[in-house]
Amino acid sequence: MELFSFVDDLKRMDKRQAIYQILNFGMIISTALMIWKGLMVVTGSESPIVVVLSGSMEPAFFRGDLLLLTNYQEEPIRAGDIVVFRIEGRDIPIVHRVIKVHEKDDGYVKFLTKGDNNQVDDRGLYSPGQLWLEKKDVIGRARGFLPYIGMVTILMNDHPQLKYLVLALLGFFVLIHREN
Amino acid sequence: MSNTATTSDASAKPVKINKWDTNAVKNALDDACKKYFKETLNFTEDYSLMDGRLYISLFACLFSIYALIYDWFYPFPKSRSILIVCVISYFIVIGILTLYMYFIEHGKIFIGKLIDKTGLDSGLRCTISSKLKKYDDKYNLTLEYKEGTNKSTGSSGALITSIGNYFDEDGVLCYDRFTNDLKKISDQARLNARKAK
Repeated sequence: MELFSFVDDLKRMDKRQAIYQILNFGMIISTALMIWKGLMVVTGSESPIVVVLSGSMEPAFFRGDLLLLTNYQEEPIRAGDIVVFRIEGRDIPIVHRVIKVHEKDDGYVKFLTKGDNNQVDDRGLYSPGQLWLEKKDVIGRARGFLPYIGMVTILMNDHPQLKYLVLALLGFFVLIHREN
Repeated sequence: MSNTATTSDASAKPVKINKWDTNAVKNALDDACKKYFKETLNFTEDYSLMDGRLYISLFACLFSIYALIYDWFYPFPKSRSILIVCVISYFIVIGILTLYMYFIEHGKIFIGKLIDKTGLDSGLRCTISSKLKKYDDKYNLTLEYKEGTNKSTGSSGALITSIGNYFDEDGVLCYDRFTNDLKKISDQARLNARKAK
């Protein structure tokens, strides 16, 4: 069959060509990884791109939007900023707006958040006994956004088989395709 | 020996590729050219150019693996300086690789040496490079022969033909037609090399 002509192509590859195919695959993955790490360093945030998972910030952000974050420690957090934070013990980041800020002379800051589309503030979401968020919980502040793009990530997280299938197919084609 | 048995096995099956895929066509012709020079003319292939490419790629991947592992053990804010170093070095190495492939390799597909078994001191070195533009049908093959250590004597031969001469309607490579043309230009070039000496 025409589809399996690449198998013959593979057999004609000698050892060095095969090693190069694997290294080429490694380099593509490394380039993506290095761009991600580079973004982490430039923005100062451990997760510079996040996907909005719920509708609690409508009409500003909808489910499926992609957010670009920065986490510059020198810029103070003010009421009205949209922050992405993580509650201790849970790994899903939350995107909400800061509504109250308390600041001490020594620089210690604590703040309260609430989703624009929620009726109550986030104290119900915080850990038991926690009434305020601190700087260490913050992953970053939203600086830019791309609508709808994050839907792909949501889809792949809801259906992990789809994610593995797509990754396997991409990896397969990169390894097979011989380019000089 | 078993090595020659497997190569004749693979060569017994004619090479069939998608004739509309320029990349596959070029690869098939390059492979056939290399096979002719290695098997029929008994050149031994010099892998140093390809090895250079492999080492640079490996070096780049090592930077990224190191960054990945370091960041795994010392999560982000602590690993910042290492990440900066790794990311910048990675892209520099990739840049070096691109320059290497463009300037130093520059289309060379085969570098071979003919060791004269009778013990004559001059070994014949041959460098072959090929070019096939994306939607073009003209295959450019350039041979360069250099005799011994004297770099000034050398000759070259070139072959510019349409790929339609070597592939039939189904995309099967007509090895014999291709090797006939190869034989013509390689003999011509070797003759010129002897004359120039």
